[in-house]
Amino acid sequence: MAHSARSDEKAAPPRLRPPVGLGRAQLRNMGIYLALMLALFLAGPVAYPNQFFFFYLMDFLILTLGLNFIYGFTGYLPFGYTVFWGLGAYGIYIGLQLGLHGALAFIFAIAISTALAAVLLPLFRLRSHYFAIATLAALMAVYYLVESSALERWTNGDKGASLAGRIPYDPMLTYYITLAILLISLVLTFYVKYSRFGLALRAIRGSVLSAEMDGINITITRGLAWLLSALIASLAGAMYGWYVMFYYPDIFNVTYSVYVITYLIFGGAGTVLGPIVGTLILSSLYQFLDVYYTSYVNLTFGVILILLMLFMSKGLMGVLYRYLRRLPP
Amino acid sequence: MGYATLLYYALAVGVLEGLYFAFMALGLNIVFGVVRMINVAHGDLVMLGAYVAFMLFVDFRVNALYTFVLLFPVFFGLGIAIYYILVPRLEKSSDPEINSFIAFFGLSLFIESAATIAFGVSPTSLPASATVRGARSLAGYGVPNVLMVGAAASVVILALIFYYLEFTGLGRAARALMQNKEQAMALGVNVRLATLFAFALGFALAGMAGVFEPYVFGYIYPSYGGFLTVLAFTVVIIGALGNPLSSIIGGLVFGVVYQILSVYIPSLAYAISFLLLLVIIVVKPGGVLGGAQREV
Repeated sequence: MAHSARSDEKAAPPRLRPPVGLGRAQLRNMGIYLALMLALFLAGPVAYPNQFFFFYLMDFLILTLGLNFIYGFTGYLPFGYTVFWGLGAYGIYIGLQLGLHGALAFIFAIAISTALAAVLLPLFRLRSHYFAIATLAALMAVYYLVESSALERWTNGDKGASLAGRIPYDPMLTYYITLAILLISLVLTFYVKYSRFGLALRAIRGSVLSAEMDGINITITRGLAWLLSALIASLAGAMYGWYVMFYYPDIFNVTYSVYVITYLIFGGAGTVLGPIVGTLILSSLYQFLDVYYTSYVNLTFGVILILLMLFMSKGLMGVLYRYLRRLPP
Repeated sequence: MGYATLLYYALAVGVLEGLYFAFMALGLNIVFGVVRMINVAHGDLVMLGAYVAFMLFVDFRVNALYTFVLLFPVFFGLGIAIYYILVPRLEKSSDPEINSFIAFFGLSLFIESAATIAFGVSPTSLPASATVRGARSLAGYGVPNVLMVGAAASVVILALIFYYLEFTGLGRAARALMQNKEQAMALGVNVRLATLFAFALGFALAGMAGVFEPYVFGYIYPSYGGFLTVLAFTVVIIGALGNPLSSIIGGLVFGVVYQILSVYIPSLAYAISFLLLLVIIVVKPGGVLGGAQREV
């Protein structure tokens, strides 16, 4: 570099611009993805009249896209990620118990879930697997708090939370709101991936130290990605709670987190197409197994996780990259 | 019987169970120290050990104390097999720390659901007649003899591990690897062999700990493994990560604190335990007794 600069001193140095901003190609891709999602989730339930299947698929797509912000782009793996999802659902019940009505209960749910993410911000001082296990501890702490008989007045303990008769049950409306949240998450993913902000996140993923040397405010950048990630999960959780109307503290089971992580890694973390393809394939597989071979669900996912880590840690997009020899979308 | 006698009882049982917790967490700490991987399937191995003891007792009337000895070679062999399947490849991967965490989680899911298919979901427990019957009276409360046998077995195992780490070549190699892998390699430590042995030993200890699990926790079911892993991790981190013998202190502290919590505020004992773990990780990631492990 230094040598070539000396050889032709008169030529103006090339202006290095970071690859930011949504160009025409990215906007076109985004349009295609949005159209495909719309087509799938509007036409899907007509072709295969099982709305819950498609709702579940959307809800987990949102979760995988949410996790992508913090694991895919920033490089931190929160193993207890679905604590925000669970709290998004339980928060509605807790809000109702506190005397909030309708939309206020939803706002309360999303607020406490995102607030939990803010409380957990100090976890970012930890190295990768400490961060993973610390978020897992947070998930289990919340699980046992919700399940505990001491807080039964607000959570109904292990008897489960029922929203029936307290908020209007409207699966159609929930379905379309969830679809809207999915589309917004997708637009956000595109925006973040091709923005300065996303570039900063990827710099942090590469090396926290050199990112800091480049003048990136680590605390704020990383914190924003984390809060965004948690906010998306709590929205998905609130919609899940509204759609199913009744749930147990089991919603804080770590396996949900593991599923989301598997979907993301299987597709390819840090890409846009990866989380979508990963979730569409594996969440469909999950729902199929869950209906017909329930006891083989975790057996299958355990094997998938091990094989992914041994042979395909960059996921389907990594394979595609090796095959196409260019960066996947 | 006032609160004071209850406190004595909680302290005594806390110490007995604490010794067991130390033993149960030992394998996790050895594997972490030497291989630098968190064996997330640790608790599932404990669960498997408990089921082996249960099946052998129910089907063949084998005293669980014999099973305890038998489990060592069985789980040691299992550890060797898993080592060759997982570890060398994970060590070469782009991010060994987090990739191994995920892969071992996969192993945990696999063991858990294979156990569910084999044994069903309902909790079982090991009757006292599988080991030693009877109970001793302590401050007016009954303490089962088997709990004391479990604590004694834990002390024996802890002593043996102390011997291994201090006086055997493989153990010293393991300690060298825990302190500084590059230096150990430069000094000619047989890294492969020492790592393999420590890894398999971690598995064997987990399996053996399973025999007393049903007595300490009251029951066992296949999906209990995840909880046991986090509990073992709590014990490890109250001590120091990568320093196996500090788990003794971790086990005793956790045992006593947990007993006192479950005597006075039983409904929040678990929640508080995990909050405690969370706080310790944030404040001292290397463990309460460990050095600094933090990064930016």
